[in-house]
Amino acid sequence: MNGVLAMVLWAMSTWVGFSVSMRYQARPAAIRRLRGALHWMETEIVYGQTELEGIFRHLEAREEGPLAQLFDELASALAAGSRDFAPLYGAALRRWLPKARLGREEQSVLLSLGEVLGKTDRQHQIKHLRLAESALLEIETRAREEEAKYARLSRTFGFLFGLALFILLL
Amino acid sequence: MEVIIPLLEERLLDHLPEAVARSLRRMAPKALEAVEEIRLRAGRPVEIVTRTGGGLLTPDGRLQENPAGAVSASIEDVRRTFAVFARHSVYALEEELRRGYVTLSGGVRVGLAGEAVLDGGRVSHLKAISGLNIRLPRAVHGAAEPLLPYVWDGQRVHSTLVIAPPRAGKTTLLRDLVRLLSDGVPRFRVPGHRVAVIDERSEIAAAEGGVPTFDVGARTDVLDGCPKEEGIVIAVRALGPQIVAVDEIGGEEEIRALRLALTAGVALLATAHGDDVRALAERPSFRPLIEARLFARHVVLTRAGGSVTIEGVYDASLRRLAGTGRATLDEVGRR
Repeated sequence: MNGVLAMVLWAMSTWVGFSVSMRYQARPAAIRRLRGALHWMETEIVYGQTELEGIFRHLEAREEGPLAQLFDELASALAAGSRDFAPLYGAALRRWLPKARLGREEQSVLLSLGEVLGKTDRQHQIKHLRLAESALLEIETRAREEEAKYARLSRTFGFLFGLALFILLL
Repeated sequence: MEVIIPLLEERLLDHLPEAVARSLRRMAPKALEAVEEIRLRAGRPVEIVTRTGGGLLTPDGRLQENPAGAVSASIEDVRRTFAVFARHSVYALEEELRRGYVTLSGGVRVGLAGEAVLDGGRVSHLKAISGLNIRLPRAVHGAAEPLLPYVWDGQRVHSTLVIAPPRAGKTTLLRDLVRLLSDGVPRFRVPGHRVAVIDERSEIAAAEGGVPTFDVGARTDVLDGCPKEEGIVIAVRALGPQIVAVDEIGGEEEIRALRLALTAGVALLATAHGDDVRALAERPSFRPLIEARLFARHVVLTRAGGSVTIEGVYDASLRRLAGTGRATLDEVGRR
């Protein structure tokens, strides 16, 4: 009986280690996708003067998974003729964030962007988008460093901690 | 045919600040029908301009002179309303912010007040929008009928310039003239004509997706959102019109394009800001047009007693033509 329990705990500890490691790996990738989306948004604003609804629709088609759902929700809110966009953006973002594997810093960058998105002229929009992009780039760099440091460590730690439990319980 | 109430209900009221929309909904239908402009100014009472005057809007939907107790618009109200009109994409309205107005669907024109940003001494665009003048378009069928005997001589359409101060009904008259000449009017023995409308501000035809929402006639092509000077050249070359119609001319390039159309054998229908034809003829940009007698008819509108009035029709030499009545557009519209 002890043997079975020890095996289960070992497996669980290894799984937790891999989960933590995957979070470290997923975060920079998610930030990179966001940066790509913001860059595309900037291009559309600068060269196409495309309205936000159109931009979100394009992004919805370009992305997949939860990010596509977020852009779909934003485009639908604009199509419905919402009177105040910023609170809707904030609410949609907060619903999406738990699925997004993002950290607090990048969440805060995205929420701040929602306060100004679409509200000012082209020059200001470019400034705000570039500011958000460069903030995300910094966060991504740090996230990559963390990934390099901790992703493998988490996997190894999870495996070894489980092994230690296994030996102790036997 | 009046379209103000459906226009307000279907397109505007939901976009206006809650308190303003509520008060407008409480207005008597007849009073609401007469609304021409809704003016929102940050931190000040909401003004309603009607055919007969207007006043400051009260919470129970009346109009009064006294600012006390009137419905006010906050700066947030103005900015939020502007954001809705801009479809939350203010950056996409660069040209509109430079010109100082935005045209919404249905031909509603929103004049903007705010802080001017200068570039090289010229207005680059407006920012910090603090006032909106929402101007509702009117389609009055038959408004231009009193003009037909002057514009159509039994053989051809005379090029006609409609001159009037702001809010005197220039666009209403032009729209109806276009419709009449395009469809033809058997009663006046006017046949149908191919008309090209250069609708730079989307006010004449109020096109949505290129399709006119106002009745501008069966034989009318619309170049929507097209600058007048380029539109005139494109229309003459590509659309083969017998008549070209443009609203609110004034720039030197526009007037050069008008000359091109006139010399190409196309009749022109145009409007211009002004109080009377002689004052207009003094303006340097118009003088060559008037002196060259390019417009065979000059129609002057006034806004007497709150109703739109045809003050007079003048020929190419600015002689007042006999028999011009003081038919008001409102009277004609009711017939």
